[in-house]
Amino acid sequence: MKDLILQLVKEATQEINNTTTPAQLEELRIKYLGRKGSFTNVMQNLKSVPNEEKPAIGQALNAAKNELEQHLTTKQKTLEEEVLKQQLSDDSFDTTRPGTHYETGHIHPLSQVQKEVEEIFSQMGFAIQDGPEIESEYYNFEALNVPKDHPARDMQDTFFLADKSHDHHGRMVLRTQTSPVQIRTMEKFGAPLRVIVPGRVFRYEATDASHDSTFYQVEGLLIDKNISLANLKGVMTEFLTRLFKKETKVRFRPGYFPFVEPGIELDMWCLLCSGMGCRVCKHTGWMEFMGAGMVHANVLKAGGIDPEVYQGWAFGFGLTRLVMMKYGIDDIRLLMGGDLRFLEQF
Amino acid sequence: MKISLNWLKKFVEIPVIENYNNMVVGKVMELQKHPNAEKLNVAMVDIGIEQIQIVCGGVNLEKGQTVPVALIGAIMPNGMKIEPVNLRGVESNGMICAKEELNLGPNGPKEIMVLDSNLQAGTPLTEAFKMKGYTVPQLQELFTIRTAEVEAIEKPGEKLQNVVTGKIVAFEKIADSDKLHRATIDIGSKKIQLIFGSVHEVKTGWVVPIALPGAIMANGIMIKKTKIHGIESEGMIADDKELGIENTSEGLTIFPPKTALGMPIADALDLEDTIFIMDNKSLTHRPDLWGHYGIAREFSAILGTKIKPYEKAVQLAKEKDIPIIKSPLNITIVDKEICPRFTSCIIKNIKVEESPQWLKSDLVKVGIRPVNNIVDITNHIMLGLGQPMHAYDRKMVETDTLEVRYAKKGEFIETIDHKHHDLSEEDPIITNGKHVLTIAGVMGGAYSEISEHTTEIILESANWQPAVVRKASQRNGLRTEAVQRFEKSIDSEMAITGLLRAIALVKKLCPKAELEGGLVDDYSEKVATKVIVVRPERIQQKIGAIVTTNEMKDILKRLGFGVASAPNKSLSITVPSWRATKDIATEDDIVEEVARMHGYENIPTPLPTLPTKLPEENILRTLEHKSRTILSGLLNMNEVYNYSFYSGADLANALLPEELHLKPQNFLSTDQTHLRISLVPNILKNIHDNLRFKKSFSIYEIGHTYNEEHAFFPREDVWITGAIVTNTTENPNSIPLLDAKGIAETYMQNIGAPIQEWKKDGLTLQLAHPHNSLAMFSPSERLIARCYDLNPIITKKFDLEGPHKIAIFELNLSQLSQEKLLERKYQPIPRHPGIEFDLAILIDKKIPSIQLKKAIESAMPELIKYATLFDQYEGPNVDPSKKSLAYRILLQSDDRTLTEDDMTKAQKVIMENIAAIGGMLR
Repeated sequence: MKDLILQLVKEATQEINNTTTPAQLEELRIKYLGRKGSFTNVMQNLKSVPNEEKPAIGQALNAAKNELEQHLTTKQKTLEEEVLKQQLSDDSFDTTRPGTHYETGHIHPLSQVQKEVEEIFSQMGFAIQDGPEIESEYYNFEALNVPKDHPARDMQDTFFLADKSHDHHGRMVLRTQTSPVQIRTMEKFGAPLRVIVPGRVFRYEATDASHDSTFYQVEGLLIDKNISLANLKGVMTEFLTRLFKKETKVRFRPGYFPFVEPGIELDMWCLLCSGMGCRVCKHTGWMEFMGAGMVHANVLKAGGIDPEVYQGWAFGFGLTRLVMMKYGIDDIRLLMGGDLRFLEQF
Repeated sequence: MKISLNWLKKFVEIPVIENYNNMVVGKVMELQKHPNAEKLNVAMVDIGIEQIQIVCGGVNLEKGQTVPVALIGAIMPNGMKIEPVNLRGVESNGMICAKEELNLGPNGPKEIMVLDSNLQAGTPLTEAFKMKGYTVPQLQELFTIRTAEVEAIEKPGEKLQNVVTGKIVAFEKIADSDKLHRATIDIGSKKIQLIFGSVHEVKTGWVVPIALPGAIMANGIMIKKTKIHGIESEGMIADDKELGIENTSEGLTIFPPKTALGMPIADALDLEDTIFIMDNKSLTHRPDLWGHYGIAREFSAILGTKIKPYEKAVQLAKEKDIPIIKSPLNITIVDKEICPRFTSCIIKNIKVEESPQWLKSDLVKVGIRPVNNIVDITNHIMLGLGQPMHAYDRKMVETDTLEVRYAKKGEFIETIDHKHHDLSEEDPIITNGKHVLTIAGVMGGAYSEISEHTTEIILESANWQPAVVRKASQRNGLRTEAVQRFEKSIDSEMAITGLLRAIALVKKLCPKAELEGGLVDDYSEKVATKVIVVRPERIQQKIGAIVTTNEMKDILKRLGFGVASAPNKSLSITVPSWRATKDIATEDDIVEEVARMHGYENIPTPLPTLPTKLPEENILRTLEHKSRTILSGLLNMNEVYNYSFYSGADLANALLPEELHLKPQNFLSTDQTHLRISLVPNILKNIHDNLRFKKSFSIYEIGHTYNEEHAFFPREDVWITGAIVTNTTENPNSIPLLDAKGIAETYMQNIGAPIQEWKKDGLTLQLAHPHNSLAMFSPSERLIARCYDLNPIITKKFDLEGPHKIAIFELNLSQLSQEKLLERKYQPIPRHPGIEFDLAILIDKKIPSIQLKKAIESAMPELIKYATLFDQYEGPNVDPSKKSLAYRILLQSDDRTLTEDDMTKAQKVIMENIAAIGGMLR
């Protein structure tokens, strides 16, 4: 009987070793361990074994069954692994195919940069203000210390609206600058004041690759009891460093704008060479960035603020120019052109 | 404006040193013969931090010498830039300099300069030579950051290299040519032969500019040795045009016979100079800087060097030169406000001729064309002192009785540029009673212009009212040098100085000239001395840097201000007359003077302290940015920007009423004659343009509209206007109007605005299709959204017909930003499963789907959660008067699981409701 069992185990082990597919292996399991399998037959023969031998034979039989089962499991694992390996190696997906294309819309570059500018100044405690695009001569010029016949009015060629005039306000103009909002916010909120005003401005000026009748500016205004030119240098250094994400320096030069005194021109480090001097900045290391200065006492007075108590500065820079610098756009007209081949690049 | 450094130096000490950047002391450590060149050596030179290899041809070069070395990047005084070179196979990384190359005087042929052996290798040359002063780029930078922008530097002499003076010894016509001549020219060191044409008449003995091989002409052509008609030509007789100068009206400059031969003409013409090109815009507020003397004054303050008083720096007419008898001139200033000061005199025995070279050179260098001695004198004083002047031909004027007044109707003038001007009653003039002689302060008349026949002149040195001059200049389109100065409020004190200087110069150039009578000086508007009291601590507080009172005093004194102490630690500042006309009036003006001279670069960069109060939110602006995120980021639309204008044709094509439009009085093109009341016309133009490249797309713009509402300020609203364009060939089933409607709804859902029921858009807007248009109103009944198909008439007018459909949506952002937004509240997740089923219903085409939806949803409101239309069909198999609508319906209860029974019951009630409005199950 024992021999029979050993013989059976030997036979089965050999057959298991020779199998090549999981199906064959399953057949063997049924053949040996199934309900009608070889071991069941042997079990049935157990009755004929003398009682004293039964425990030993029974043990041997169980051991043999366990051994076989283990063989089967191990072999099954090996075969499954082989199958998986085969499947994986048969899988010939072309990983160089392009990923699925998801169409997305595009936000205009002016809007994108404007938002960035607003976020940086917001973090420095500046409120974002708006004003009308159609202004009166009073707000656009007079209140900003640019009286009639002042040569500075030549610097800003102006669109006037037909047939509109008012004793106090003068004619109606398309605002040439965002500065009138200085007066409007002073009138509305008084001092202290900390605002920026990004917005659309207009110049009656022939259009070419670098000039357009419509462009965007950002006005800044900070008024409090102890605000100095030094603070302006600090705020602009911080702003430009954050905007361009690299260390940036600014320099002041005397400049003239009727609504400030002292008036300054602010240059920033050349974006290309960071102050070393290159072709782009004509070897000066600097690029013109904006006009600024301490708000003129007449402007504060026009806004209803006492210049003996409060002082502060204002600045104005070209958002359009900033966008052109940032993306290397060489024709300003593209920005107002609505050409999707341009807009889809942003 | 151009400013000559040599001219400035007549007034102020400006220590200029050569730009020896990148030039150092070197020690010759090793010296070997060049392997491939007999006359060259290869030196290893210690420059302090390292040893570099230099190929050098210096005949006196020896090992162990201390020499000046120009390193890579150095720019030699003659403009040559030092770069690495390979000389016959050996690399050379610098240059050992000769004296001449450093502009330090002559040296023997091929001799390098040898320095004191005690000098350390690597010492910068400026230090080794103990040079004290400023390089030209430093001066440019200093003036730019202290006063006004110097845009560029020009060296007029550099363009004239290899052009020398040469005497025409002899010339003859070439036998077989009509025009060509052969000439022998003496250029000092030798005689050369050249061939010339017959553009200018020349004479033997004349000394003229000779361009030698290597000279570069104004047109960029380099002169070379050449053969013309088989005859060798070693140079060219160069006229002003070829040289790019405007020295003489004859075209060819002829030097005095005694001029040294072979002299570089840059020297002969006194053009070896440095010219600062000023940015005129940055001088707008500085009337005192519109002449060399003013700029010199500023340099003296910047550099801390002495300025010579004008009357000591140049010669003025002396008292003894001026007759005591009264001038025959009788000037009546009728309109006093025109003319704050008028000074004048008569000079006889004038000889009008070409100016001497020094005078012409001064003008040429700064870009003014010489005319004749008298005109050149007036220009020279304008450029030197900053006082514009005018000279009249006394005989042409005919009378000594003149009137200064506004022009009268019908009066006119022909100005010296030979243009006719009909004058207005606001134009300031000087008249002899018969003719207008000049538009005062703007331009003189051709009638009394100085000519070669002039023998007696009336000289005018006046000051004119800035606004009057400016307006006259604009009205007559004459923007002259005089206007640029007068419009900025110049110092009336200068007028008499200018006149005295002119008299001295006329006498110098015309020795026989003499005054007839004394001077006229009508000084009606003498400006009182301006005194400002300033508080040093306030100045310091505005600058934000520590500037001591002593430093302030020093700065202000350097700038010509009078400074005295005043009570309460303040200072009493007396403004000099040249700064008192407009520029300096308040304490803040003094802040600027102190700040710029202290040096803006010396001001620290502290951030202001943050306020404790948060800035107020700009709801509209936040909404604008959010809208972009939704429309571009979520709904795949592209943002465009358009102009605020369109044309009369555009608004007519869009059927917009013209009377609602505001119009610019001045416009740049006929495309931009009206201010938009709708963003649609420009969007339609965008569609038209983009259809050339794209078939389907959607775009939007966020922008202002401007509505005339008969108040002074128009109404400005912010709109989002968008368009959906679909291609009907590629996508025949597309219904862009439903896209537009869906975009509007999704948008409102995203910003949290309550979605109201859409209504038929009964508005006057003719842009929209008469039926396919709908509108949404806020609870306060204001229009917040609208979408529509384009009116077919408009499609046609904007040339948009083709295989595509276009729908428009408009969102009133101004209104939406004021709406109360929905507060989101959590809804419990249903605990019991629902039953979903579909129904296809046939119903009359004309019945709107919303009615059916309501019929379904009202059948069992407590159980029916929604009924969604998911398909609509008309066509074969459906009665032509009917449509088939398919709804998906969800039944769900909050407290139990529904059964088949519930569904059967619901369907029954639903069908009853549908039957009531004429529908049936399909």
